[in-house]
Amino acid sequence: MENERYLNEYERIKKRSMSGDFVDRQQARKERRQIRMQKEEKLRRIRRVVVAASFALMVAASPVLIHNFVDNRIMDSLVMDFKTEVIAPETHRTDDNQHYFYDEADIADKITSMDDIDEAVYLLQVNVGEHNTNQILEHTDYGSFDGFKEERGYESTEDFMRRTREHILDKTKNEENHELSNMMQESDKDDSIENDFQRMGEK
Amino acid sequence: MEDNVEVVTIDGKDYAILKEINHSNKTFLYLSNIVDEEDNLIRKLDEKDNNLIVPLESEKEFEIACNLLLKYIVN
Repeated sequence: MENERYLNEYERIKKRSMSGDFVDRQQARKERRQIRMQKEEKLRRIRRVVVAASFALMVAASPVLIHNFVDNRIMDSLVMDFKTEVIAPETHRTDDNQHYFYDEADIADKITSMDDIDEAVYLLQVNVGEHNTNQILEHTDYGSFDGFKEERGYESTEDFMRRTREHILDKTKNEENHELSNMMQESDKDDSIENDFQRMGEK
Repeated sequence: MEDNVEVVTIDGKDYAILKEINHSNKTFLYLSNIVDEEDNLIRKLDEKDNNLIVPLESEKEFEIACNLLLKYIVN
């Protein structure tokens, strides 16, 4: 969460620093525009810029850092959505209110009805752990987590998690690019409509 | 203790010039919106006309300005 705030501040300062008006300082000085500022306030304000500057240097030193940061944000968002939509509605308290349990059959129904079973089981595993994932998959045709991995061609849990995470990130980024491409195509269509009107006017 | 701080108007907003740092014939200015502490930016003096405060030209220039500020703070 802190890193996201710093990233936002860094992006904001960078954008503002590279755009905007030119200022004639001589003119501003002629107007003698000054304010009185407490040293503490000045220091506090400089510190804000320093924080963004530190982030800038981290990014410059390691582009991998920002790449990983974005990937982690994507995965966090998907995991949270899955928890909200799939797990939370099927999580119940025991009668003594001391423990909770999952409605395993209902969760199994939900994940088997999803388009991407690998993604669904990945998000399940991240949310509820391997033991509960196994219990839930017992209610599916896979019979168990091991059965799922074998049928889907994964050598181990580690292999499944690594390959499926890559698959999810690729898919998510491709969907975003596709959306962007569609938006650009729509904008091209608008241009052609404008050309049609122009041609009609010329007649 | 108080300082007199120069104010300039950029894009219709008033910014206080908190710090100036010279490096390799460039002067970078670190500015803060006087009514919004979250609105900060870095500018430089135009190399041909030192009376003109202009935006930075590139991300690389932005990184250099950030680096200079950090060195100033550390030293």
